[in-house]
Order: sequence, then structure tokens, then C-alpha cells
Amino acid sequence: MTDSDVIKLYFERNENAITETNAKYGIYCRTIASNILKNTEDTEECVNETWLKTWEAIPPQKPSSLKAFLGRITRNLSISMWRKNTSQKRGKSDTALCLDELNECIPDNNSGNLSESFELRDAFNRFLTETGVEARRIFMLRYWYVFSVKDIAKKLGMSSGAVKMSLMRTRKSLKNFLEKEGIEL
Amino acid sequence: MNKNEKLFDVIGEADDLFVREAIDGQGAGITSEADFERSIEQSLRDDEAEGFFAEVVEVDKAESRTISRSFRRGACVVAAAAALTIGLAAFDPLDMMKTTPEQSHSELQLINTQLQTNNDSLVYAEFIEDILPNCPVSEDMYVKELPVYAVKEISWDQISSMLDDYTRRCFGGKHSSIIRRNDSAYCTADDEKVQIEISRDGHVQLMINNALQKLPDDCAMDETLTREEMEERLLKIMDRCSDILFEAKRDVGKKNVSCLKYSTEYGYFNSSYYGWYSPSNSDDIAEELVKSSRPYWFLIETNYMHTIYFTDDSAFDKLGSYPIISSEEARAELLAGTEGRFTSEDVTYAGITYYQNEECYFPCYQYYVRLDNTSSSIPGYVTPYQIFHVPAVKPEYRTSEATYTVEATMPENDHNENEKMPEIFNSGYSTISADLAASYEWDNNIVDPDNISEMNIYKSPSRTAYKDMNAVEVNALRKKLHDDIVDYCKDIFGEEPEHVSVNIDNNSANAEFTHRGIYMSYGENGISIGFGSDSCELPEKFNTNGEPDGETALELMSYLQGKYKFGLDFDDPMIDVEIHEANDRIEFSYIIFEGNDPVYSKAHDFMSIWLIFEPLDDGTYTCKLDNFNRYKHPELEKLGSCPTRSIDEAKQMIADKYSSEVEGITADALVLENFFYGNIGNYTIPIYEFGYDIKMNYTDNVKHYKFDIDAVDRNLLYEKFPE
Repeated sequence: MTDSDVIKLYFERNENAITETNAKYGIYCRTIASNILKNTEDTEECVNETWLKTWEAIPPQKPSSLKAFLGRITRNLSISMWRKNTSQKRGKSDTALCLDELNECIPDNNSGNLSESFELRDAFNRFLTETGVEARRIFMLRYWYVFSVKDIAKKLGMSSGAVKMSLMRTRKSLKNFLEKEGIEL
Repeated sequence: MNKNEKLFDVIGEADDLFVREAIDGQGAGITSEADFERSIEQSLRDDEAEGFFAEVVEVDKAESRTISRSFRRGACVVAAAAALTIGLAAFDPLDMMKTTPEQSHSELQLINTQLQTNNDSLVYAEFIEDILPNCPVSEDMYVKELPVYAVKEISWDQISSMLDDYTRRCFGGKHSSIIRRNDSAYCTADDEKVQIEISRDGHVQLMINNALQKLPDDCAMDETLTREEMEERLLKIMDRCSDILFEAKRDVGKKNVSCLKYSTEYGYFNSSYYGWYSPSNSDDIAEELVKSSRPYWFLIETNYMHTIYFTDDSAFDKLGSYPIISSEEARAELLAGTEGRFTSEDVTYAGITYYQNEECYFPCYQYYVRLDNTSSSIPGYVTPYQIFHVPAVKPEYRTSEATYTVEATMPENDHNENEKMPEIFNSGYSTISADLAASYEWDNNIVDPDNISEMNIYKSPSRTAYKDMNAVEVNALRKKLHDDIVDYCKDIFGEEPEHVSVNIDNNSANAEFTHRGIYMSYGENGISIGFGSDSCELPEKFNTNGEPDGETALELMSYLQGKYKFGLDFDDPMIDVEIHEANDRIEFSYIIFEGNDPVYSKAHDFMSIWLIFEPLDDGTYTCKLDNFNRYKHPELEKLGSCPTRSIDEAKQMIADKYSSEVEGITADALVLENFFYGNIGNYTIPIYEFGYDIKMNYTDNVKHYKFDIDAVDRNLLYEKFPE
């Protein structure tokens, strides 16, 4: 069943939409949730929540990429749950490590508040556009999908050292980019 | 919320194109903002083209907001069941994210499992356990299904892209221009230190050009190591070569390697091949088998890493996971296919491996089947086994029936039919010092070719290769070699040898033995005896400024004869004594001849001694024996005599052939340097060797050319002694 067929089911309010979504993208969403949460029960809860959110969102939304749409919902839900779970105890999970690493991207002279989110989002997409394909994939796999460096290295046929090096360079580039754009976090 | 968490959220807002690109591996093709805009527009256009958007906008949005309780429960049940089935803990997340559903068996296409005849299907062993391959699947392990792949030819564009990719991943930077051969293309990278070649069948070779220093002793590989020691050393080698072995870095990590097998080609370079794969350490038997069937190979020459090769996955497309038969069923198929010639006791399980024919790459059960069940009291006597493959895919998915041919019943093959005769000319050159060039002069050979009008022609010694014999004959040859060498050792030493091993490979049959620390071998090239370095120290001093001022060659021979009790008779007429001297080395060789015929290449005794000089303060040298070889070649069957061409005619033929290639060459400038017997196909004939020196422009060295030419006319030869 194509993505269009699945979305059509949502628009028809056919409950098979969820079954089909789970069959096609269940593993994908569970992987994202599992990367962030590292807990099977929480993962399941997030994925279930993803199906509900999707059911509520489509229609009126009609995602151009169902896969990315589902992934985004799962990521947001998982991060919320991770924050809730770790508000008292913050271990060094991959999510925590990702956050640590992202500290490097925050401009030094920054003292203000988070810029308007759309401005930052727009800038970030421009940054990704200017970044090379490989570095972009590595960056997204690490900070969007929260894959471990080792898994990324395996996926892309690179050494872990090369992945780390690419991430370091991209983080540095992002920092320079944000500074150059005058964006404050 | 911390700033980094805010940034984390912003990253979560990355455009869908980048989200998909990251996980699907297909570049979004975006290198500018204009591309970005175009991508988004295209995405929208694609959806509109499906006519979907127009259809669904009419749906009542109010209705869309409702969701039933029963549905909520249903979704949870579906999700929980999926989670149980998948087992989150033990998967490769990135691979699992691919959303292709598994094929059901009814969708599997039929495959061609035709097995082709394999010339390497005979193996020999004293103990079968020594040669069984290292397979991750034991016979009692239950494997339900295994993947089958279609074999495809990689396009030139894809090879070009792969060369880019390998260069980038292995060495960074760019490669040289790509040169295409008939069925492969190659380039160099890393300042020409490495050549990468990829063939259309997916074979990848990384040839290292002095990029690595000699492997340290703790990485040295030889055939005496156990499998565990090899694996330990392979890890060290991979660690040492980590800059190049990106695959190793990717696949091995902290895991172990599993050394599959190796083979060694004895010879000048002492090349060894070591095959290894990195076990996945998972429960996925299929993955493990495919990995072990497509190993990485190291080619190590005298402890220098030379080449790494492996097969890229691009040459295979997965057709699906096919149900397979059990080993018990495969055995039964094999026994039935060989018409009751063997019993189940003759058949030893040797794992599941992958077999490739022109269309498919598919799993096969592999069995070593004992061809000869007679026992022998000879130490080292080995039993021949034929390797059989039985397709593991269930018969209902095969388009062809497997046939099993027993090698031992095959008629003798005649490989000489297709053997290409060598040219009557042969040439080569080397750059040598001026003083060494002089030693090539025709001083000591007592034969005067000018006064010889006819030379004997011999039948070439039979190439005792198992390809030319069936298994029973191979075993007979093995016994003969063993007996011969025992007799020979008794003849020389009056004692039986301490250890004998017999080895038969594709091109030669050799027996080796050691006695009193002396290594000897007997085979196609006759007997040779060699000592290792520093096995004796001679008391004499030699001066390398002129002629050796100590012993003459004969006296030295006599000394060695007395010391090592060789049965060489010095009353034999000697045809040639050569003394080649270089700064650190002096080589003596002498050759005796039998009767009036100077056949010393293949039929007679030949002895060579290599000495190493070590300078002393007084300008003289101590001399150590470096290597001592004696060859006693087997008797040749004489066919008769044949007229020889004159020296002048031979010189003129060489001058005419090479005048355009070699500067200044004329018939008069050529010097006869050697006259010997050599093999051409089924004949052993006399050959002239001429030398020609050109002084180098900037040094005292000379470029020394050697030209060999048949001393008899081939047409006359074939006319007189038809094959």
C-alpha cells in the first residue's frame, strides 16, 4: 500500500489507516522512540500516541511525506517523555549525549532568549541546504534520529572516528552559521 | 528548557526532505536554496499528479476529528503484538527501519541451481578434521530458510561511482583518472600508493604499493599457526592497516575475526592468502553464512601486505528467503545422485556455503566424500576427498536438477592440448654493475656450440599434476614419491628420513623431507637440497677485490661434500662452473654432464652455493654459507637428435626481431652466454642464450639484455618428432 493509499484511508476515516500505518512504519517509529527513550514500554506508549496524534492530524493535514510526518510526531512525543522521565535523574543516554554535543553549536556571545522559532527553523533548514549531503545525513541521523555514532558508522560504511569528525565539523559550521546570521538562542 | 534542548527541538523541525534523506540514503539532491524550493514544489506536484489531493479535500473535516474508543484499543493491540514479534533488543535498527515487507513463499520465483564442474573439488588430508572449513552452521542446527541472490553485472557508471566511494571512504581525497579494462576498471589513490580495481562481477581489489612497512614479527603469518593464532594476528594486522581497512573498521570493531582458510604458494615470494570474515555474533544464521561465504582476503607476500580483495554486495540482488532442506535430506540426495557408490560413512558434513553460477548465488550443503577408504601405514599418507555441493533450496523452487560426477571415475584429461606453446624468442633485461656483467662471459662452459651440429631432443618430464590424473592415480603417485624419497635419503645418508610429507597441487607433485636439519624436496624439478642461513661457517677468508683467493669452487664443493656426506661424484665431467660475484655475495654453481650431451637443465646434477661476505677491519672478509642447493633432475626420455641452427643464424634472428626495440642491437654485438635445455610443451630442447650490454648514461652500471632462442628449428622438430 502506498503512502497515498494510507493517507486516503485517514481521509476516509477508515480505522484500517492505523493498521496499515503500523504495518508499514511501525518499526521505523519504534526505532526513533527507542533511540531516544531506551525503554520498551515507553517506546510502545509513544508509538501508540503517535498513531492517535496522526489520526487526529490527518485530515486536515496532508503530509507530503508520511514517513517524515510520523517520524516527527514520534520524535516530539519521545523527547517530551524523555524530558519528563529524566527531569529528576539525567543519565548519559544518547539523547543526553546529543544535548551535550549540541552545546558546542550555541554561539558564545549569546545571552538573549530563543529567537522566534520559525526564524530559527528557517535558518536551520538553510544551514542544512548549504551542508554537504554526507555531513547532512550524519548530522540528521545523530540529532534528529538520535542514533548512536556506532550505528551511524555501520549504516554509512564509515569508521566511528570519521562519523565523530564529521559531526564535530558540522557542529562547528552550525555555530558559525548561527553567529553569522545573528541568531540568538 | 536549556538552550541546547531548544536547539534540539529546532533540529526536530528540519524539513521532511532532510528527514527522509537521512534514513533512506537517497540524496535529496539539494545543494542550494533553489534546489530546496524545487524539491518541495516537485513533491507537491507528485502528490497532485496522483489526483489524491483533489479527491480528499471534500472529506468532512468535522467527521475527521472523531475517533472511537474501540479503535484506540485496537491500535494498542496491533502495536503491542508487533512489538512482541519484532523483539526490539536484538536488531540492527538502521536496517530494520527499511519498510519492505518479507516475501511470502508463494511469491518466490524459481531459481537455477545448476552446479558447474569444479576442478578444485579434490582435497587431501591425513585427518579430515584438519581440512574441514570453519562454518557457522553445524549439521544439527536447524535452519529454516536462507536468502538467495540474483547475480548481476555491474554497470560501468556504477563501477565509476564505486571507485569514487571506495576512494573517499578508504583514503579520502580523489583518485586518478579511471582506466577501463575488458571487464573491470581501476584507478590509483592516495598518491598512487594504492590501486583500486573493481570488476563487473563485483570483485574489488585494493593493491597496496609499498604503502605498508613490513609486518612486525607478531603479525607474521605462516602455515604453522593454529587458526586461533591466525585470528589473533589478523586482528593485529587489521589494527595496523586500519587506515586502509575501512571495512574492517566497520565490521570488526571489538568483535573477533574468524579465519576461514588460507593457502600458500611456495616460491620466490612465498605468497599466502588469508580469508576472514567478522562474525556478526547475532542469532541471524543467514547473515552469518552470507558473510562467511563472501570473505575478505589478504594476500601477504613474505610478510608484506600486498592485496586485499573481496566481493562488493552490489553484484547481488536478493531474490528472497527460500525454504531449505535439512542436511539429512541433502545427504540422501547426494547418495542417490552418486548411484550408491558411497555410503553415508564416506560423507562428512562440511557446512553450508554459498555457490555461484551464472544466474544465482545460492546456499548449498557441502560434503567431503572419501574416495579411497584403504588405510596405509605410511606416515603422512593422505586420503583423497571430493567436495560435493548439494543445493540447499527445496527442490520445488529449483529449475534444474543437480548432477553429481565422481572425479575418480573421470577419464584422464589431456591439458597439453590447449597449452599455448611459448615463443621461440624470450627476452628480458636487468640493470647490473659493470663488474658483474663481465662474469656472464662464456668462460667455463666446455661445450663449444660452434662445433655441434645436432643435439638430442627429449620428452619433457611429465607434469605430475592431479588435474591430469584421477584420484586413484594421484594416490599412486603419492606413494611413489614417498618411496622415491625414502630410497634417495637412504642412498645419501644411509638412513631413512626423519620426516616426509607429500604435496600435490595443481601444477606439481613434490615430496619434502627433513633429515638432520637439512630440508630437501623431490618433485617435478628433481631433488633439491637446501640449507638455511648460517647453517655453517666456513673458516676461509675471501677477498672480493679480485678472484676469490681462498678455495676454488671444486675445493669448496669437496669441503661441503665431506662435511655433509653428499654422494656427488667429482669424477663426473663438469660442463660448467660459474662464479658470480657481487659486493656482498658470491655464487658458485657447477653442472656435470652425462656422456656427450650437455643436458644440464632437466636431466642432471646441478649444485649452487651462495655465500655471504662480512667485511673485516683488515679489508678481508669472513664468509658464511647462505644457501646450498643441489638438484638432481629425473632422467628424461630421449626422442632422438635434431639439427641445430648456427650461432650466427640465431644471433641474426634476434637482431632482426629486436632491432626496433633495443637501441644499437646487432648480430655482432650479441654474446653467447649460456646454452641449456628448456621445456617447450612436450619437448625438452637446447636453447641459446645471448647477452647484450648497454652502458647507462649516468652511472657505471649497464643495462644487460638476455635473449633466449630455440637452438633447433621448430618445424624440423615437429616433423621429426610429431606429438
